Amino acid sequence: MIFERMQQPALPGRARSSAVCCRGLPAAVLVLFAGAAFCAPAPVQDAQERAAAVLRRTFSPAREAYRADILVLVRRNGRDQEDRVRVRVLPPEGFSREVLDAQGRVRLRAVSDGKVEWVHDLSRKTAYQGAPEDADCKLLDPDEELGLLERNHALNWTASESVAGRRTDVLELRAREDSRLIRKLWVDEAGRVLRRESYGEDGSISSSMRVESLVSLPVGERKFDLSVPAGLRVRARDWRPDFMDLEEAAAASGRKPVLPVWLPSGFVFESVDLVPYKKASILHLRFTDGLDALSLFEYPRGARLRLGLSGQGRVRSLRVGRGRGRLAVVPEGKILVWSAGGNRYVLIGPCSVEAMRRIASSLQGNDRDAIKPQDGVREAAR
Amino acid sequence: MNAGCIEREALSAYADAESGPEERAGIESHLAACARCRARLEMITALKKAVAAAVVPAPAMPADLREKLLRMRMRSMGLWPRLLGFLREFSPRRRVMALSFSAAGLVLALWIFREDLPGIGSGEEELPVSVLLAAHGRYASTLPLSGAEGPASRVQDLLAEASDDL
Repeated sequence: MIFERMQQPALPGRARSSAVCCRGLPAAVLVLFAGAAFCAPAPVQDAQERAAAVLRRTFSPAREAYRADILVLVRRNGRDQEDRVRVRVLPPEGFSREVLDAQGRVRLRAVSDGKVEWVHDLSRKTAYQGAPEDADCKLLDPDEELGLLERNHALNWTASESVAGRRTDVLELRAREDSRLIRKLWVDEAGRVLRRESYGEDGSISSSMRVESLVSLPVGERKFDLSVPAGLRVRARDWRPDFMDLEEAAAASGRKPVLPVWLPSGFVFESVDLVPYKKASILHLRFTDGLDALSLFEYPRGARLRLGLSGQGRVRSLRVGRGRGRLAVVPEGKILVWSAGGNRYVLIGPCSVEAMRRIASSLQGNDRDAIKPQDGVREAAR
Repeated sequence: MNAGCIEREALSAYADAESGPEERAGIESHLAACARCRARLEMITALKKAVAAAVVPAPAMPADLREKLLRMRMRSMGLWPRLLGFLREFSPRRRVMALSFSAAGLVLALWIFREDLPGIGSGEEELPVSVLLAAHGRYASTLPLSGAEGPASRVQDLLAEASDDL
């Protein structure tokens, strides 16, 4: 698995192969071979192996309790929207995230001790209680996910830089398909991502986060207060997403999930979640390429629900298969909404408009634009 | 002019055939006896003919000026009177065609954008996009390399916002 591959000694590949044939050769030839071993390609190999080692660091669980102030920027309707988040991490599973307003006051707080998660929405005077986040709520195991990440993205170590007073390694992730820069990460010695930049199709930064300060959590703050502030009404909510395969989802919902025949390069079907809304049960089909998520929601027309896109900026109409769909651009990527075969669909993901349209068109019963196999169609389901 | 001769205004009125019957009879009996007044009448008549021949007919209003004035008038009116005024410019047949095309265009636009219109005749409820964005964000946050800030702060917002509708 990928962890085993990453743990191989960080010897340049050419050095490893040349070391076998060195014995018994004259000293001059040996020197020549040694010189060849460390010539041009070696730094590239080095950078990749170093990047793999840094990446491996990011998966190790936090060992140190810390507090960080983070600046999050997302581009929305052509303008940057800024959020400040104060994070406290208390290993093994405790965390607190506070979203601050422009005056530095907390407007939203999510706090968890690993058993219960509270979200206090102070502006709406409401507290929601539920199960905490769980990264294991999916079918792909971490090794498979990392395998996908590695298969679809070229990873390179590019430099060492300082972020929030800490030395970090700068990693670049590029799409293997077209070498497009997708993400840059600044990872510290403890494996924390202290800075991240995500790039859009045009090469500009679509979102970024940066840790502005990071300190060890003072002893006095190492116990999280899970009590609900006075004056908030409490509502229960199960945050934990479900994770089912297609058969389980069909049994649970009474509907057979429809998978697209075509997916963007590198994406695979991962699992299905059921999102309850009012009396309807919305199927949430989840896809990933190891780095980004693609969500396809489907529900029957009979549920009599119409997706509202108000407040999502400019909504444009475009052809999808035999009908038309509506497309909006949001910080999470793009949202495409359309109807076909008695169902309504919503696709959310970071893909290009054309890729979104092709995914939608390749759904069963909506296949006028379905891509021919020679165009690179592949089965979405594993 | 001798005493008893006719006044110039009266001669001019006589030349224009504007005198009353009695005045006309008096003028004619005087003209028969007075060569000087006959000469004056001839001069007045000749002058009137010359003036009439010299008068230039009034020019027609330029077409663009007329349109400009119409447009100014339209602008000062409300939408409906303007629309009606515009339709009045058409022949009845063209009027029916214009109205038919407009109605067809309206129906087509309603059909194309029916999904954007709040539940026209469908009685449908709105599903907030925030509910789906929150579910998407929750899944995205489980992927490798999701940030220390957790699900994007905005997603947390949406999560809370969406929960009110659940």
